[in-house]
Amino acid sequence: MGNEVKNLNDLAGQLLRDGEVDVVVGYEKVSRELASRPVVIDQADDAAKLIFDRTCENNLANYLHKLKGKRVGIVVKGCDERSVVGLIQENQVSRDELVIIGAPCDGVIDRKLVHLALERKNFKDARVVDGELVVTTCDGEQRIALEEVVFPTCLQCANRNPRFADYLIAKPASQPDVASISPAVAQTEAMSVDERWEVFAREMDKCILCFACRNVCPACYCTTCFTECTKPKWMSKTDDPADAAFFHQTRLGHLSGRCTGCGACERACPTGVNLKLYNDKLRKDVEEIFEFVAGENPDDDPPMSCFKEEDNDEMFK
Amino acid sequence: MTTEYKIIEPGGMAGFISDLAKRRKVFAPVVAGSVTKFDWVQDGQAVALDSAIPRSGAKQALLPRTEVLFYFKLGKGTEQVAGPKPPEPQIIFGLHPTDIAAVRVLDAVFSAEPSPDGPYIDRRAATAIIGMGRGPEESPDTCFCEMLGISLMDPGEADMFITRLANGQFMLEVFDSERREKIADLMDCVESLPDASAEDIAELEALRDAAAKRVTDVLDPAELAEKLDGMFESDFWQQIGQRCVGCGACAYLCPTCHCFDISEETRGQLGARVRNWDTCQFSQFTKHASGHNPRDNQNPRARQRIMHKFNYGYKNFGITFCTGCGRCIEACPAHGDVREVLKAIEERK
Repeated sequence: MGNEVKNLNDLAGQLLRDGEVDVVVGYEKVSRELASRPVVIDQADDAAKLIFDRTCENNLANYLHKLKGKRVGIVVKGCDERSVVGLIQENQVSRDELVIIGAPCDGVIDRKLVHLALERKNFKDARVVDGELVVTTCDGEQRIALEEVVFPTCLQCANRNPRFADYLIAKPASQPDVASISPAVAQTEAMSVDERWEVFAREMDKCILCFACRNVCPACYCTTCFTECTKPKWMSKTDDPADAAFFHQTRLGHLSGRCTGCGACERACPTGVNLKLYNDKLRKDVEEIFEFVAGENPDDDPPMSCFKEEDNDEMFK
Repeated sequence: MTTEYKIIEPGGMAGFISDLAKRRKVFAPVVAGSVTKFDWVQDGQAVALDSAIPRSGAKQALLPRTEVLFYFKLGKGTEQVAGPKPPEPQIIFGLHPTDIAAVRVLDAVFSAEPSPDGPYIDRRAATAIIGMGRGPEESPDTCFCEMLGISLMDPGEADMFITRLANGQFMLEVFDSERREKIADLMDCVESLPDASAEDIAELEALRDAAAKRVTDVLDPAELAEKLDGMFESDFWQQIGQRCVGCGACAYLCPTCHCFDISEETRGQLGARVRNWDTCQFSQFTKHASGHNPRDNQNPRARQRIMHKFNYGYKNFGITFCTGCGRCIEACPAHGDVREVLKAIEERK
């Protein structure tokens, strides 16, 4: 248990065969190059499907909501595990209904960055060799340094290793000393109000209110989202930029003290809205005001769901 | 009038587009950060023609994300005070055959009797389409339009069509009869261009032939629809539903998806009835006023998407409601792949 390293497929098969879990949530290969996708298996024979590599970007904690009432074996990266901790804090899932299968991770690859690096040429035979992504294009073999194609979120990751895993599926990854708040936050804070508004307005212009960000977020699980209420109708869903702005500002408000900075929202956005900037700012503010970091310990009380006399009251002065 | 064949020099394309923009609004592919997308342009220099399938397509120009149906005033009984502004003449520039075929789907749906859609029809009538062809090496690996019977050089409904020739020049075809009348206001941009030579035209025809020949292993739409008929109650849909997060990324980027929701927006006594894009993938899409929701989990919603595109659409209109552009594959946050779904369906007995 704990830091014991096991083979993912053997472990998943064993957990299902022994009846320790009803399902295992993991990742499986897809036919497309350099991609994988979430999968839920309930048969030990399907355990052979599971993989873990640098394409496994989805935060699988999101799928716990659909699996309520089942005992779940869940593959989590360090970032995903923080979301699981958050759900335990909020009584959405119970620790003893889970088998946490920890996947140490050095960062997942952003296909958009690969396309940019290759000037949008098609590629195949993608593999990671000695810190480089090697692919074959119509121009032959090309090598790209991994730092150029790994998700920016991952380059700042302070959570490469799960901390509460029942089993690990690989040896722990080395953890460089990094701040998990993007330097872009400080840069934006230094801008004038007008400049900050311009940055925000430019991002909101890109938003088409598809709600991919909300739907991949493990912390967003309201059965009727505020965007779906008609009585009262809190928000419109037109192309007026005020609608997109209202959605994101409100969602951020709802994520206060709950967003773990996993980056799933930013990766999910089909139009490239820079959500991470605002989530990072939110996490920075929460840490400064409440001395709280989301997803640390299952026993923590998230600041928005409890009152402590020593809570910071600067904003009332 | 027969088709006219003109030549645009490689360095002359930006100027040609800017000229067009002086006569009508132009919606063309531009680079926006890490993606290309369609956007309104005035300066031809901004246009990027090297991406066959820009991230968001041209659907927005025919079916805007938000469209005012009419304005009204509240009072003793509500009165309709004004219709929407009539659509301005516009050009969709650089639309590839995969996306031109999608316009055919929208045209079919919105002109269907007994209730053709006025706003769409008016906007469509005000739209000139200048298409663009390509060779197979320029297709993103997620584009599977040839599998659905679409040739990369098929101009379809386009009013004009651009093809890059081997020497870097662009061939501009200006099609005949009714189409040319619709674009009479653009003809002076074209008239000054040099005529193509007989060799150029032969090269174009060879490219078109080669493209048509590649459309061989085509999915049989009738067979697919029939298979789907037998799958309504199948637990097949669980495979998709289990990982689909129910967002609108696929539907909103899809050039054929066209569902909308109607709402009313008011400010004091004035208001507008608008329609906004909507999608069958959202959890509340089929929720009844009674509170009952016949599609209350992602499995029937995933089924609906596939059924509408490959079964109902085909049976009701004779065309598949998917043109294989692959945007849904690129955009899906759960990495769903409609090609894999189609293959799995094909393989079922």
